[in-house]
Amino acid sequence: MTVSPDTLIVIPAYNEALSVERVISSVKSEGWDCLVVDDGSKDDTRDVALRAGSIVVSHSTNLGVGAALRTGYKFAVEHGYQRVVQCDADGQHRTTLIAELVQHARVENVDLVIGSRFRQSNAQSMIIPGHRRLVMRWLSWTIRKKAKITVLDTTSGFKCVSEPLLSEFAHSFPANFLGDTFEACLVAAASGYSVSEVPTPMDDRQHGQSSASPIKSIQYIARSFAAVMLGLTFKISPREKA
Amino acid sequence: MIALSTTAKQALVMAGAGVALVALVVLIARKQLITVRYALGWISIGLLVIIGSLFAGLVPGLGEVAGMSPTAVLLVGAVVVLVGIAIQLSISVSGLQRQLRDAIEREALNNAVHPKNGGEA
Repeated sequence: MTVSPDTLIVIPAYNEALSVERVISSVKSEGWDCLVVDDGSKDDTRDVALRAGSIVVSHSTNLGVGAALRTGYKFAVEHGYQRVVQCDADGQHRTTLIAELVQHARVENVDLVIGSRFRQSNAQSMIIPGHRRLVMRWLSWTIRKKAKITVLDTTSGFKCVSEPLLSEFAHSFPANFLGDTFEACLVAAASGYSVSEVPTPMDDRQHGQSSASPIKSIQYIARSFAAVMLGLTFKISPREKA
Repeated sequence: MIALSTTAKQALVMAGAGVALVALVVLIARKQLITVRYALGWISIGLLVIIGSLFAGLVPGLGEVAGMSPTAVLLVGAVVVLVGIAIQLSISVSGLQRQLRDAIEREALNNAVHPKNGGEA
């Protein structure tokens, strides 16, 4: 598979100085353009990313992964990229699979391609705690109910967003916890954008801890339940028919 | 000592609270702790309370219509005003939060650093 020059790899990073260098090196070695959005890190994430050869934009304070992604989407749109692949800075996503996401987006003409941990035949490559599995099942059921599509990995942070959805996300994207995954997927599908999954196994984190604690998960599910039921999710323009 | 009716006492308390509110807001506005916009809003509310105290005699009648004691009528009035202010402030804070996030994102994009030249992208 060939690298597309119209694709930007966006790596949102908060205090990921220990792992971001390896991720950038891996992305760069595959030939992709790379942008690290340093979301107000208190460690050396910015300098490490710069030394590793990535373009870096830095938030002066921590705004959350959704805001970091929106900054990345804006950068991509302003610099003429046609699609963005989001890749975590903790080394969980296999950068060798970026090309598969992009290829799928191109060939199948899909607006949002999600790298799914649950689509491959040999099942899950990493262990997910029970409470998170329950949350994911509820989120998946909600998307099926509201948008009439089946998405198994509703919280995957490994995804490819293509125009015209990219411009919509650059303009309007949720900054709240996990809003960048489930809510974005739900809103995109419900607004007529095509969404599909591609099997992508995931590795364990290289360093640090996940932000998805049980309490945060409960808070999020309560908030997203209310938001979905009351129609309070963020809004984007409906997809124009080709 | 002059004996005051309950309504007159309530009117005096209302007027006193209104005067105290206006005085407090003027004080904190002079110390630049709140902007003129919010100071004027609170002063208006204080003045409304003072003016409202002149019509305290209507409160028992309103209470009878609503099936409430005069004290409950005043309490409900105060709660409604405070809830209105709280909602207005929530709208204000949400807007500011959005503006702040946009400003931080824009500032970050304007200062993008490219590894090759160390300057702006």
